[in-house]
Amino acid sequence: MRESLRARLVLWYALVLALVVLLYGGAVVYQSWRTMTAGVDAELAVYAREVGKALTPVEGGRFDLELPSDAAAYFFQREGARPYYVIWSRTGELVDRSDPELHVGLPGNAAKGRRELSVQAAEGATVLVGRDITDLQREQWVLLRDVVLAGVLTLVVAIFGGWFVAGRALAPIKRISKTARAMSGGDLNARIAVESTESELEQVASSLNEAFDRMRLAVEQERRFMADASHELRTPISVLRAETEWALDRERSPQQYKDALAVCRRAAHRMQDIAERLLTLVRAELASDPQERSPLAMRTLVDDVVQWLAPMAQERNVRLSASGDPFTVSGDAEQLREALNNVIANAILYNKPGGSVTISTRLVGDTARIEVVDTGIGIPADSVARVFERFYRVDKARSREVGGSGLGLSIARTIFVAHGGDITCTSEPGVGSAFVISLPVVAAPDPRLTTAN
Amino acid sequence: MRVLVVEDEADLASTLNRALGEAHFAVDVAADGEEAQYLLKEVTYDAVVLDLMVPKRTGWALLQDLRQSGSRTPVLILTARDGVDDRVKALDLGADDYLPKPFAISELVARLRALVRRAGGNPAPVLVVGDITIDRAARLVYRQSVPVELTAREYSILELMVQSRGTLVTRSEICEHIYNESSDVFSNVIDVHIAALRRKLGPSVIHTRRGQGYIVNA
Repeated sequence: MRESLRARLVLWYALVLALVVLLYGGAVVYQSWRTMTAGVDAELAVYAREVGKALTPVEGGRFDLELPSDAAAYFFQREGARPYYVIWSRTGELVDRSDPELHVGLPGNAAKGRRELSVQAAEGATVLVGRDITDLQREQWVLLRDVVLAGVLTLVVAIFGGWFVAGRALAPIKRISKTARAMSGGDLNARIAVESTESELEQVASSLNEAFDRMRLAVEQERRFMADASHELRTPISVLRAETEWALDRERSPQQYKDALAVCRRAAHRMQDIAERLLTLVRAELASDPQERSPLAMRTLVDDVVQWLAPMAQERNVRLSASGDPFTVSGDAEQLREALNNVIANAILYNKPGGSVTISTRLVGDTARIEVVDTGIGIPADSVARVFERFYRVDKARSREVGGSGLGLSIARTIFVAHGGDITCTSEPGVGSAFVISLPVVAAPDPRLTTAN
Repeated sequence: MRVLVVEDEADLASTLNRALGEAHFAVDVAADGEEAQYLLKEVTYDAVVLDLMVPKRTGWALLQDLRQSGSRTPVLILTARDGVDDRVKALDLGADDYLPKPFAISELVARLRALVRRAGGNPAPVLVVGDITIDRAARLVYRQSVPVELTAREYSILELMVQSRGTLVTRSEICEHIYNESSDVFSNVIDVHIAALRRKLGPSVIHTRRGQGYIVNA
């Protein structure tokens, strides 16, 4: 592909150059020929006139010719141009000629290598003057040859130079395609060697390298996610396998079979939970289509979730309250509800009996801020940054106790980020945690969309 | 053979407890790292089954402490982490074996038996003492090629005694290896088992050092 591009570039370039050389060379040669013939014609015209003037008719249809000395010298030079004249009478009779041995045809029939000019003189006589122009023609041929040689030389140099320059300029493409092949072959660490940042192609190479970096990062994240997900599924699968193997090892009592089945059911529930949450996470990542979004009243959404979670809070003796400004965001109601649900449920689950979860919605500039503050067990400093990672659990035992999958906050974050927002966390162990959600507000609060809570 | 299972997944721990018990191991279960550390300090186990991702103290830390304290107890890592890096790290920290989850119980049992045999200094599955042959894979005992019927406890005591051939084994040591934490036994129970073994195998195999314990001569 590169070779053909290179050849095509050089071919086009050579064609254009050849045309230029041809036109220019042609013009030079043509102009030179024109100048030469015009000079000769002017010279001949002068002498033809002189001969005409020197021709005087005498009686009996005869003529007398008395050439001035310069004209005589002109016509009788025997080297080089060897000019000549021929005079005919009105009747076509030959009157005089400068060179009796020279064969000359009638006017308009100049022999090859000669140029002739005829004028009418007194008494209807015709004067023809001519000269040999072989030398001048030879000069023109030499000029033509020189022009052609120079043109061909220019073309050859230009083609080779062009081929070389095009090859150098296109060299990065070869490196780029080689690297791209290596990448598609699975070598995610392959990078294009960038020699300088001056040429456009090197800039393309730099941009591609950056794209490759992002691609590798994405693939690595995907791999880690797959590893985490399979790791997460391994535990319930181990339970299933070990328990069934134990139960089938020998004859068991009905109670033992029942217990074994109960263990299997728990493992199945856990796998189902993991699978569902993984699906939610993937959906949250895929659904970044702004077309599917509609204006949502944030307070209504928050109140919905609070109402939904109220029984859970009551069961754990946690006070749940929401307050704040109404405002409208653009989003997928289902997803935002899920995200809010995960954050608030988290605050309830990792709380203390008698504790509280306070949700407040505020408008800061054109950003909606939703704060979820709990009086829970808190998160150790080294874990705060990691709570949004997939499958990360601060306390594995506690997480299992409350049925956490390690995905809730990760799902929430994915959804908020997909909506152009974010979620951050600050925490003090033993005192509680605060999750701050920010979402862009699309329009001023619309009274029709807010409920009078 | 007494085994400590460190596993925080309650269902799996319970299954392992039952399954290993049926494979004639005396099993203790620790649900977190701290409990495991306490038990490892109190009891001399014949083997430890260790999950790396347990709360409070990780399996890594437990393994490191165990080896730093000079313990030679065989440790089998049982974990969902199956990366080569994790395996290498665990083995380099002093683990003896590595079994990724999910696993077959029969394989876990066979690996534990092999670990215990190797720790006893003889990886061969068949031991011979005088005219007594012990097949440790099948848990069968022969006297002059005739099968001898032994109870599970008697077999365990015999295996322990033969494995520590040439050294004196006290009653409490026998208790420690044969019964788990939840068993309430008096040491005279051991005397009863020893007497039964003598009756079945002849008097020349197990010798009594009065007031100290028992010995099988090398």
